[in-house]
Amino acid sequence: MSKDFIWPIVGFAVVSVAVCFSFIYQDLWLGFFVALTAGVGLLLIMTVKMLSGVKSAGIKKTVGFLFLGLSVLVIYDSVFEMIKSDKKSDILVEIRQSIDGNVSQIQSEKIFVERLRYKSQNEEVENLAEAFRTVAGDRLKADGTLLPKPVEQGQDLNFSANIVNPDSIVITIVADIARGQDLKYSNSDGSTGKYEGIATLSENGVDYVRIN
Amino acid sequence: MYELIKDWNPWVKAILIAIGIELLFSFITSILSVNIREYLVDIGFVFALPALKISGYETAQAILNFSGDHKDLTEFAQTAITTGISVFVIFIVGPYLLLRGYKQSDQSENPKQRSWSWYIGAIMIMMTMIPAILSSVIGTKVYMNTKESMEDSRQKDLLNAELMDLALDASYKIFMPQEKGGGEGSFTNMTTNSENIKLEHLDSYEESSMFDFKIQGEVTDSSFTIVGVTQRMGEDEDFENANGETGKQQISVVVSPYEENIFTLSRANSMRN
Repeated sequence: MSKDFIWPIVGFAVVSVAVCFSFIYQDLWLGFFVALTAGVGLLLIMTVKMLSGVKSAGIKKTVGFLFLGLSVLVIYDSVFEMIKSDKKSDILVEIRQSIDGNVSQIQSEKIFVERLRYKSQNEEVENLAEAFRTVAGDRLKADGTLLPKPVEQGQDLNFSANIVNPDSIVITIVADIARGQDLKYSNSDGSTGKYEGIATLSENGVDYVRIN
Repeated sequence: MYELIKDWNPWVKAILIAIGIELLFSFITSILSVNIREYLVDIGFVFALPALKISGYETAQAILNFSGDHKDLTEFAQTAITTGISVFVIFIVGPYLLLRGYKQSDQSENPKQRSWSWYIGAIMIMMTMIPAILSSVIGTKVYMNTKESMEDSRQKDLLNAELMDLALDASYKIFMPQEKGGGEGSFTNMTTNSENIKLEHLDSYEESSMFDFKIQGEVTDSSFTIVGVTQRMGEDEDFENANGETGKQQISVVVSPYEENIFTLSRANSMRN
């Protein structure tokens, strides 16, 4: 057996070790690029060693250009794919955050608008808290949880109301799925790193703030 | 000249065989059932563009995260192993066979003759390089077009968000007392001067916004319309925008706080294809 046969064996061993990085760090791109770097490095060493006894300068030149082209093309495509893939993932996260953020703001402020409308149309209602409780009805639980209307169910958002005083109500909204800016943030409902917003109704109007 | 062509003959053969194998492969995968096709496509990734395999996995993962699901880790392991084998085949096996073939030719009596080892190595390398060249050219072009449409989409999302803020502000302002800057139940009774609602009455209105906002049409007691215009061209270059410009993308929002839907967004002169 030719002594050159050592190269596929060494190559297999080196690439196998490199692939382990994917599993250790749970990152496919990291493992792939370590394997790619090892592969290109080994290709260079193998080429120099195997062609050391070859006399033809033409063969050396052809092989040099070919392997350089192969390495550049694969590296270029891989980096390009990784950038595209990262961008796609980021966009999906942003879309989810944007959808949940918009829905949470619209729903919470709509709740307040409905209460303000009710109060403006019913003069006997003394304050915002009374309007809030009356319109919410059974959907407002004793612990402050505000259940969505049947048409608004399935939005993966949890609403919790706190009547601070007769004319000030705070609604906290935590998303089930959408990530927040800080992945370690402790949400008010006990979850971690999720989108959270706070809508406030007071005598001065309605305000919505994104907390995470 | 003839000698030169003759020298390159093995390469022409290797390239044609590689193209033939790839065409045959794509034909076979197109007629097979989905289950078998998945395995065959994985074999395809071993020879060409392993990064595509990871990109596919990451995209599927992102879509699952989007809907709150998590992917089976078997798929992760399969992707890692497939791409590892791919690097081994592309950078070690193919080049090794080619180099071995060249060495055999160099040591033989007829150095122009190529061995089976050379042909297999050359075909394997070409099976990587041909799709890689196509992918570089086509992928870059597609990416540039996608970037353009993404910017359009981003601008629309930003404008939607700003219009939504304005609509929500107006929806509660109408019910506020006049001394708090509200309309006491009417958009035509704003502030102590009993005037029609203006953008300046809304807390979230910023003159420095990248979009141009106008109140369009009649303001009634219970509803009015705000229009937002972007700086990006829409599909109709002659479209007359609410701010006096022409051809720009535009979104309007009808604010109606006495209705179940307190506001309704609608687009006009959307992005060009």
